[in-house]
Amino acid sequence: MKKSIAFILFFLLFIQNTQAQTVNTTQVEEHSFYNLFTSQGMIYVVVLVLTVILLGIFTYLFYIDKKVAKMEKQLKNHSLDQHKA
Amino acid sequence: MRLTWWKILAIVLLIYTVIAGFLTAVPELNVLHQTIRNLYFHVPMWFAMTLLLSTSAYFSVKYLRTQQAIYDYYAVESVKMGVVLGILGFITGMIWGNYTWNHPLPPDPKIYGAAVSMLIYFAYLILRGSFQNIEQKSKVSAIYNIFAFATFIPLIFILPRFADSLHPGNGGNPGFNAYDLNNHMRLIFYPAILGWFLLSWWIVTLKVRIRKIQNTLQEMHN
Repeated sequence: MKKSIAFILFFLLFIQNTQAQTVNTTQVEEHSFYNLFTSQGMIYVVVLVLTVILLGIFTYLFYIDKKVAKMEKQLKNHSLDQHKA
Repeated sequence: MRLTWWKILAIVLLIYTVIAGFLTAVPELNVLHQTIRNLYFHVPMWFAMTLLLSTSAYFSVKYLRTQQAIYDYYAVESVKMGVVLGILGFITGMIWGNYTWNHPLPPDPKIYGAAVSMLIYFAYLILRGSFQNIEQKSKVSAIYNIFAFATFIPLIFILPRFADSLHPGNGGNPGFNAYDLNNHMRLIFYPAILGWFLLSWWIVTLKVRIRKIQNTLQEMHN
């Protein structure tokens, strides 16, 4: 999880650095990721950042939800055992 | 993990809002330029907050009628989440206004109404904290919540329309319809409201479940 986030952030740094250099058009392919992300005023970078933020929030919510469900299950089993005993 | 349909819908709608909100074309208006995209984020948060506070008032009424603690939990957690959304909406509104109205907090009736409503709901939370007895706490705060909501609606929606306001749709300004020249913005605006409300409701249900667990644990220890 942390490795993939670090990889994505590193990838974004890479894009910003190469923007300063003059691009040799014979070397850069027509439909590369780089061309897509730096077109349209780099709006795709904004979209990617916000999607990552949203996915992070959702992952955190899922994690809390799982934890709460586990606690509820434990309580239910505990109270059932108490009734049996 | 209770994987319900509406949780998945919340995720889908919010990711759709973020992607479509930035990549679709928007009307090019004079003062707003690209910030009109805030219509997909700042405004839906306020709408979601209104929906949350109305559900909170509904649960307060239910509590007063049935005296069941679960409704009190829903009422207080909905207010807490509504207050969070309100603070976020206030801050994002200040940021937006700073660059379009050239002032973060201009003398605007809707801003005043929003600030007073926030104070009213802060007072609700403080009122709850002042009681020791759980039943007294729940009853008095439920009554206060109903009055708070009855004050919130006129403050935010009705009074600003009579006064000179900077906000769209109030005080002689053209409403949102005038911005949405070809109705494309509604396609993202309405799903965004639903997405924000469902996300907030997910957080509310989680906190209510945690309260129930804490309650059960306390009973077990007693």
